[in-house]
Amino acid sequence: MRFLFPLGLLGLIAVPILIIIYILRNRFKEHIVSSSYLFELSNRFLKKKKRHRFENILSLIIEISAVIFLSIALAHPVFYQKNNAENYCFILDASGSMNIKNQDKTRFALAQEKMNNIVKEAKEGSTYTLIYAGYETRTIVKNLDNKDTFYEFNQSLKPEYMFLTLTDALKKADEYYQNGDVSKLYVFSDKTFESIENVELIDVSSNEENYAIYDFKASLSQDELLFSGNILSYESDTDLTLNLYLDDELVDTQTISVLKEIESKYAFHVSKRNYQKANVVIINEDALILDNSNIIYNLSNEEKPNILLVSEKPFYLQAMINAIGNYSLTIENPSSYVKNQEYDLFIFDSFTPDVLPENGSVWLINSDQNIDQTGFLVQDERVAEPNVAISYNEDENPLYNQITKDIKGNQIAIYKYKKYSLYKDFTTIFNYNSVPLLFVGSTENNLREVVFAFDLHDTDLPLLYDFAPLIRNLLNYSLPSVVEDQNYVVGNNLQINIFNNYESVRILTPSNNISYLALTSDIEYVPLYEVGTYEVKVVTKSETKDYYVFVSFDKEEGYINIKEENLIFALSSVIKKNTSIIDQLMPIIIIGAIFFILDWVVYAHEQY
Amino acid sequence: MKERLIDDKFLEQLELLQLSINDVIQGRFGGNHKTKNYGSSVEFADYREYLPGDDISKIDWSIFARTDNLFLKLFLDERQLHTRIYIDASKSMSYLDKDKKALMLAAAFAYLSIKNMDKVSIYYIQNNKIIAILENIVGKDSFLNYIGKLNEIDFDGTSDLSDAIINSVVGFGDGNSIIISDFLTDNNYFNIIDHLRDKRRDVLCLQVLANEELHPSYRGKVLLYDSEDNSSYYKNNINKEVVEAYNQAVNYVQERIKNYCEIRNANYLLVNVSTPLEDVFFKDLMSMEIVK
Repeated sequence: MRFLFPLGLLGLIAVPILIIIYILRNRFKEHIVSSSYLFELSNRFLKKKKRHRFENILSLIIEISAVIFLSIALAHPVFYQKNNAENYCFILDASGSMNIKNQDKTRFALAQEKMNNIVKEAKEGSTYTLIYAGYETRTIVKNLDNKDTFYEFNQSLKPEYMFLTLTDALKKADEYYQNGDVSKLYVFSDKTFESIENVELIDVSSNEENYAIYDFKASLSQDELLFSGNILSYESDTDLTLNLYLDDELVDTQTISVLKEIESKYAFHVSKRNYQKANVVIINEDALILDNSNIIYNLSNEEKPNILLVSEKPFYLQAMINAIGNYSLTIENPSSYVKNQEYDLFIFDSFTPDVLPENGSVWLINSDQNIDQTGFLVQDERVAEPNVAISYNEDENPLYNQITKDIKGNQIAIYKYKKYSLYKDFTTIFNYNSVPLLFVGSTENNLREVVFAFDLHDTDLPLLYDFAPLIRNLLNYSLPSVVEDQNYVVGNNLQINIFNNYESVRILTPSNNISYLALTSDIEYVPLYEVGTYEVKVVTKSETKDYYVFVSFDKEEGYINIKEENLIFALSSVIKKNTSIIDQLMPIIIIGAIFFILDWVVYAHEQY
Repeated sequence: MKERLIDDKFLEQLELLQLSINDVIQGRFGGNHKTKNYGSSVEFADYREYLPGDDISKIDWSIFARTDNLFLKLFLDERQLHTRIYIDASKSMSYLDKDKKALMLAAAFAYLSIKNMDKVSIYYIQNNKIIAILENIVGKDSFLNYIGKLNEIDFDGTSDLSDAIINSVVGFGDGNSIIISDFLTDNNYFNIIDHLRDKRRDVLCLQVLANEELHPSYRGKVLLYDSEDNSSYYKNNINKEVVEAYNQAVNYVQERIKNYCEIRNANYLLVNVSTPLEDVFFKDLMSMEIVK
């Protein structure tokens, strides 16, 4: 036991003072009265002739007790009990499904509330560690011993929007456990686990209805717009009603019958028109509103890029570029090519200009002469071995991923190719015998550059499925728009192409957080952690332009009852517990007050 | 008297009163009391001022002619009573202004008797002696001349009312005997009542007690010495129970004397020292029809 304010014990001095006062007060005071007759006569009427000795000092005992308790209360005693307080560790699941509401309270809020209750009930002296299992697993507090501070930290947390597992959080907790920093572990989650050992799971899930809409796409045909995507009901078979808005104007409604956990397709056919924003919404109410709408911001209103194709045999590329559409394509014969033309992209197919264009991206296909600033040198022409197919590299480079997006990886047959010696950094898409056949990068003038080390007519590539996405991706790379894509799922990275004339790029998240890109590379990636519309504001010397992208909720997180892997937590050999602190002042004050009241009652009883 | 115990206004009020007498009048001298036996004497005795309601045939017109004041001529055929007032002059009566109250009561009763042309004697009793401080006073002049002697009474020692009164001359059937005491004793004062009633005297016991005696303020541990006897003391822790018992004792003492007075056709009145004298006479005694 320890006293927080030992000076309060000075109040005990009042005890001997009380005793002295009692002794002095209890001396018989002498008086002379006219007659003692009536007093003596009163003895005959006394019900109780003699008081018990205890009764005579009852008042003193009560007063001393009251003083003792008051002094102890002033000194504020605190009691300690060894190995009686736990070191709690809480893992808080912050995945997207924790946003699901049940009776106006999200699962996340419910988990926070239950966590606070455990802390509230915990013995003083306990410590609290909180691991936040979000996009990044973070230890919010570690072995904190102040409950109020813990509540503040806990309340400051918000759930995220994506599918997450607790693996990292459990690893972190296990590390603390093995170090003896944790003696009791709680997991707050809406996931269900097949088996749990040494962990107390606080399940905050319930079987609410939840619907989702995703994979929203827009396409343009001859005379109509097509908006399509998928819908899903996670808990029951039901009819879902969808509204389509173009620029916030309701243009169509349809009701679709869906089966539980079976994806259903929807499609809106709308006559061709201009629009900036298309929004499709499930109007049925459910527990999670975040996955009930999708938005597409129309990027096709941008000015069409100009492409110059210099080729004697332009068929494959001409057909593909036209098929992809939205480009203004000019075809020239190599003999009529003059330099210093203004195009966004120059494609030199089996033709080598004397110099590279000063503006615009460039594709060099099957070049047979060296040109300054290309970053490579032409060595020789080679014939490939028969019946040997080439395939794509495997690279984690983001640029490689961009170029190979949607590509199935068909093996390519090749007849002849050229060997180029690269003296700049390029990203190789595929090669043959370590000879790069298709590589992308930039010229010494920082113009985007795509190099084919072969003639398209010497391969079967134009005949393969992959040719279309490959050309599309290469065009996207060479003619970059600010934002490349319209469909993002939370957790994806938003790719932003940076041009030389950019002065600043500002990102505004759905929760109104603002950040600015560094502009140090050609492509910047912004991780998308929130559901909703991100605004990208690009400022150049001449203009300011806003771009919008919509980020949808993670489909996986819509499943209410996800079965996680087994949750097994090894027992630590060193379980350290803390000394508990019992700090209960109120009972002492109450007992002291009772003694004071008792003293008054006894006094009143004796005197009146 | 050192202090003016009875003021003029009070005396004027007393003028309207007269002492009631219940028993057979045996006095030999005429007073304002009708007797059952007609006397034959017509001897002049005294004058007194005319009061409304008096028989106007008895007005002395010659005095009126000289003084313009109306006086009645009194004759000895009206029986004269003898009011005997006994004051307990023990030490206990000297506390809490009980002595003052006792003297005022005595003076007031004496005046009432004098006004009714009765004879008055005032005695005080100390130890077992009875001492006459005023004896056989008749007429206002005498009353006013001698009443100051009451101040000479020194309240001290004890008092044995029974011994003193029984061994004194108390008369027979000739008026009131008024005993003024706190009666805080076990001495057998029933004997006095018996004796006086046997002598066919009207008896009035006035128990004079102070408020402090009726409702004592002592609390806690006290040692109370009796003023009359230092060897007698009371030692106790006075608490609620003791106070309750004390109240019962006070009631007991009152009831004891009151009941005996009723049995013996005597009168009893408790006089609280704090009660104004006017209230004693014009409320308490009138309601008991001791004065009219």
